[in-house]
Amino acid sequence: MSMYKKLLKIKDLELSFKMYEGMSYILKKINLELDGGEKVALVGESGSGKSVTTKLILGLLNQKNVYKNGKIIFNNRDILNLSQNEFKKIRGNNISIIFQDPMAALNPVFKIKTQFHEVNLNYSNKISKKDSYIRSCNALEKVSIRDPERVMESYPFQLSGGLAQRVVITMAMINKPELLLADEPSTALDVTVQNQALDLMDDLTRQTNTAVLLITHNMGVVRKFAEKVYVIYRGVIVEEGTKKQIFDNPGHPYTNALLNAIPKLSGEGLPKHDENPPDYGLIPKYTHKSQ
Amino acid sequence: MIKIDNISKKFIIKNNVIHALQNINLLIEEGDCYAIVGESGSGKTTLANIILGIYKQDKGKLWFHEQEVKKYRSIKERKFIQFVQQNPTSTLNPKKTIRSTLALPLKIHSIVKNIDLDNKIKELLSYVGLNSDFMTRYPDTLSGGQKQRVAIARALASEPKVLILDEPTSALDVIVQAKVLNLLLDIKKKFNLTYVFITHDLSVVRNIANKLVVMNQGKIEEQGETKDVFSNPKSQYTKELINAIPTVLESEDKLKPSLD
Amino acid sequence: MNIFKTKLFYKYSRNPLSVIGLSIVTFVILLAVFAPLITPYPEHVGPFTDFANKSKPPSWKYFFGTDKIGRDIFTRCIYGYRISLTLGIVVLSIAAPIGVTMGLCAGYIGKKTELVLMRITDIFLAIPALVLAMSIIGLLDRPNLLYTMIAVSMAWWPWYTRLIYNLTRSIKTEGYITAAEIMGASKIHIMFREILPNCLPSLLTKITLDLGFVILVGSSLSFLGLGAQPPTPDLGTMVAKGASLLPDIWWYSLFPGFAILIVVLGFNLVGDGLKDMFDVDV
Repeated sequence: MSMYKKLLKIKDLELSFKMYEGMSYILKKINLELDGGEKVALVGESGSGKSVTTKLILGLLNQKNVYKNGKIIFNNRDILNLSQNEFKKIRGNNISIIFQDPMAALNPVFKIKTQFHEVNLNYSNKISKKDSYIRSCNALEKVSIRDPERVMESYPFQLSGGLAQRVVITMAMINKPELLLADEPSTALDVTVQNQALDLMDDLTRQTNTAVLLITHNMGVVRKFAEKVYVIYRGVIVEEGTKKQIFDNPGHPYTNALLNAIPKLSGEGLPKHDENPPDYGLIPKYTHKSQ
Repeated sequence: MIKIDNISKKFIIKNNVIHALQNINLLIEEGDCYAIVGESGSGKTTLANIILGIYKQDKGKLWFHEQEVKKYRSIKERKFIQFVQQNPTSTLNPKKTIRSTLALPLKIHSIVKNIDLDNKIKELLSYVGLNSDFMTRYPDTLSGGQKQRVAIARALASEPKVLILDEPTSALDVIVQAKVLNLLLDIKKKFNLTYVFITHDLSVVRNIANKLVVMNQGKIEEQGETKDVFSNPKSQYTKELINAIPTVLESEDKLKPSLD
Repeated sequence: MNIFKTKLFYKYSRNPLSVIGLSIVTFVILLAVFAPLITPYPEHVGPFTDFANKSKPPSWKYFFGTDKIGRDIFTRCIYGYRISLTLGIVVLSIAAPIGVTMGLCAGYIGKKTELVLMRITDIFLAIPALVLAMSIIGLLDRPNLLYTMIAVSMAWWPWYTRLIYNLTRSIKTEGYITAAEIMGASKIHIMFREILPNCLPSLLTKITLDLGFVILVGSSLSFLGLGAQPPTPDLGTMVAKGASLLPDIWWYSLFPGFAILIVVLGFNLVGDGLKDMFDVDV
């Protein structure tokens, strides 16, 4: 398989923080790959290290007490230790991100049109406000928002949660990035709206052949959205496979524990849990055979 | 046991009138695990707050054991209905030890003499599966699941009859959630409690509640026994909610109702 | 518990300036406490004259020189620290409890209480501290240190009310406050045992910063003749007395002035260090 097809290749990535109590090892040599246009889920619970992975891809962890090792190869280029100036060119352009809470991502004191303009400036730093406005309205119309002008003139608090998330997704996709990072994009939303947001992401990324790295703890969302799945437990990838492989034949005990812990619609009672679970990180990684 | 008698409440925010609850009538019987299901804006939290005496309803009455209950409650009235909140991070005072947090309800309701305080606190911690080492710890050294367990122990301290549980596991990871839900069911059985379980998570409701009510924008969409509502949902909204559940097994997909 | 080994101290000492400030403050406190043991002429603090040695420049015998009536300025500066620190501690011991209690009540009890208490606070806040203190002293008999302390306290408590009021308003929406209310805890308990402990980082930081400012305000009042009366060795008074003798007899004003500078600087640095460590805004 030619290396040029791999949009993102994370190789032996390590991350630790130096704290007062000692070193805290967050990521312990993780490996992850994404093809162009592929939808990949990184699923784990809190403390697994899944969120800091996105921060590393975007170059957002540069404090003095942060220790990084390994490679993050994006478009054949190791971006782990790039300068902030270089990252500014990539962020919002080649790599975009959506967060869990749309209200936290949108600046409450600026109208939507102003925030869109900032995003459009990443695309072309000479774009006029007028052109920016038109570009943004077109993008909103494409996602079935029938009154884009009203949305553009609104402040974030005037939009519902679902609408705000659609706006955030549109902003993230407007510059047709090659990679979209989605950090728990639907957790703060109601269930009915959650599905719409995921459908929207699916639709837009298909149109632009954007790859998606979906970070989540919700296996149901993974099943709905992802093609390939990585399961992460305390900084270690414990299972890797396609959606079908993971859900039909989960190989690692942790993946099994995650799937079993979800209450089922059949109403057979609350899931039983293991009183003394093993340290799942010590059980070797299960890799399904590639097809 | 708890009767919601034609209760309505509205809020006025910046010249907008929001009808949080409109003519709600519910009956929660002793021993029920009664789920109040809804999305944001459904009014479920407002209803819980009225039952707890945080808000006062505009119209209608609240009855507990055939006695009318107003917003102002005496200490005796406070004893019987306790609650567990959604957010484990803010539910415990960061400047107080676990011991201090648990001692408060014991002192207010004079559950035990001061000499027996420590023993009672150890007992409460054991009900929720925490050992006595936790007494001297501060909340910031506890995980989300552990904090919620302390919150449950605190709610049990006043020896209540009813627990209002407001999304008690929504902020927890799925494996921890399973543990805490199992714990809640064990405690319900052990102490003969009645639960009012507020949530948006229908898969949890399906496995824990015997009765439920679906709320939508301040109104009741549907109510009844859990198994009946799931096997035969009558309202379109309920069908949409069940359909939207992110299921993980094909066998579950088949159980979803078809949308017209 | 060894203070220097705790996590708190580790965080505090990340900024070298904070450590310098702490050293200065500790040094000044030690000087004040052990004044009788370290000063060469403790008797110069009381009624004492030695006209033979008046206005002598700094020397090995008199480190900071002598004043117009022959008293050792070095000894009087060290004892002056006693006055300054006492002033700071007494003023804040009066102002802080009053201000904090009012802030808690205004923030938590209810709308009517809030309205009344905060309007009173606003009135006091509208008048500059120095002006208010001067007016109060003017109303009382002859000026002296005690009256100065009372006057400055009256000017100071509103700032605590405002700080605690703002903190209370945001803390009262936290889950643990609602939990305590549902449990049946009394308002008094909630204000003092639930809300107040969460105000401590800001409160301690403010108190530390204020110690420096109170000393400065106190010295300014003394400079105007409204503070401690002779022969009490007060730093501000000493600066005032020496002002007319400048620039020839420079040591009379300079050393007390410098002493004030050092102690205020020390408290400021410690206050800033606490502010960074607790990550608060006062």
